[in-house]
Amino acid sequence: MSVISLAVDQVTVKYQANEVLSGISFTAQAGDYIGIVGPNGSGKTTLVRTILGLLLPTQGKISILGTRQSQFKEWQRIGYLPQKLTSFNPQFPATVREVVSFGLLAGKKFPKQISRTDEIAIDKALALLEIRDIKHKLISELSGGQQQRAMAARALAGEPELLILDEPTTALDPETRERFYAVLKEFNEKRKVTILLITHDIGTIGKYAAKMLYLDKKIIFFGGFDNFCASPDITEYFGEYAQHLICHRHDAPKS
Amino acid sequence: MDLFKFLSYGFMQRAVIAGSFIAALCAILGVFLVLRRLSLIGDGLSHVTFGALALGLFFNVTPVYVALPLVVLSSLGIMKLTEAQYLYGDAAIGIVSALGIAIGILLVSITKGFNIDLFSYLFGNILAITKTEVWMSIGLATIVIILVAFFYYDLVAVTFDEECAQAEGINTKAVNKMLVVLTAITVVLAMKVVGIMLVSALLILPTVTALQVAKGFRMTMLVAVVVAVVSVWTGIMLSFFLDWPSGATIVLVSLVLFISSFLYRQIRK
Repeated sequence: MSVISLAVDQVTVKYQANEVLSGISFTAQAGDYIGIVGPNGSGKTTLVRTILGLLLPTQGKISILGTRQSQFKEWQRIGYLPQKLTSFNPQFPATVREVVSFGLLAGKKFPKQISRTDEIAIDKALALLEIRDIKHKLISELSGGQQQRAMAARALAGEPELLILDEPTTALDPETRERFYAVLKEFNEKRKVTILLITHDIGTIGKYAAKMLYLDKKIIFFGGFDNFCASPDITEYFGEYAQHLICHRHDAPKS
Repeated sequence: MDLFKFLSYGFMQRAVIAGSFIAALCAILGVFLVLRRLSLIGDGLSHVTFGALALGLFFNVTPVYVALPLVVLSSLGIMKLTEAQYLYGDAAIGIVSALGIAIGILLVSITKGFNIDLFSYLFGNILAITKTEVWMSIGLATIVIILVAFFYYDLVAVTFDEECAQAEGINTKAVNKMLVVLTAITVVLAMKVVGIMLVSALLILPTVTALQVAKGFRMTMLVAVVVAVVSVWTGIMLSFFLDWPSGATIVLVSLVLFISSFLYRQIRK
């Protein structure tokens, strides 16, 4: 029997009178890799922020790794990479290594300390994201792409069971982006990590994610990528030509 | 050695001990405040301290005992206004700050006779620190340093990015409250060292100096503490020998250290 990592049930989110998400329901099984796509302002970031408890839903229920979201405490089981840091000060004096270590603080008891085991986990995450050589550099001295990789290492360091990534590759060059997607795929296949990844790049994500969730304030489509390409709902939503363009941009077959 | 003869005086020993503890405290909290762009909270709370002191002198109560609870409450008020998104943080600080000043001026103008006392709090008089104030500084500084050490990683994570910290299960509201309350206590304690008018300088200058030269968060905090303590010691010594006002001298020494570190960084570039 498959285990449910995430269950979103009839979730509606309103900002004052403005409904930004309407009746969202879907489940992610353990080991699912779901690409969340949709136009600007479609509620993708709002959805993941609501899942993480950063926003409260106006209606509906969310369950994370078998526990109701409001009672969920085991945050070390989740890795999160935000689209952008909301209150980051460019002068922040922490080194890359220090920033990655913050990803291991969740779930620790006071006084929180970085253990020897944590040090090994940090080194592994740095190696995985190919940023070991800059681990002693200040985060403020890095390029946008390097900062994004440092934040990804922070999200992966704790070896989470559920990984939520909000446009994680916007600052990466195409080659680094492909290698990053390969790392995620390995996490997903070998360690059965459930991945929710927001992106605008439908063609690329189609190569890696087994499922697609197309959002435009409500769910337009949720299912396998092949079904996405064959879906009459999507044809109606995009038009035949646009659907053809999207679906033929991914050339590598999924495993 | 004659240069250190001044340390044989009891009032100088008290000044150096209390000044060192308060300087370290200001530097540690200053790192979090500056990086979170909350530098002006020190300024705002010092203005509230002015009103609270005037209130204490008006009712003939030891000023610190009135100032501590009032300034702590004001800090929580600023936090509440900002969190509830009724106001932007700087607007909330501005309002509470203006209220403190207004109450202070009102009480000073309707009462004659405590202007000299108030003057020593406004501009600082570290050389007039009493034994009780020394013990209070040591006690509270120790509590604050233990709390910061205990919650170090949570404070750093929230300072780095509040939303990420929240997504990692850190109670960011509690961390924020702790930070502003500790700042409120520090501002009240620091008023005798540099004075109400200059206390925010002791919160800001050591941190911005450390940011020019230090690498890593712990190192930044350590350098900020060293800069703050050296500023206080040098300031006390200069004010003793040159008969300058101690608070202003301490701040000017801090400023010289900041300018030096800034130039050093520019040259190294």
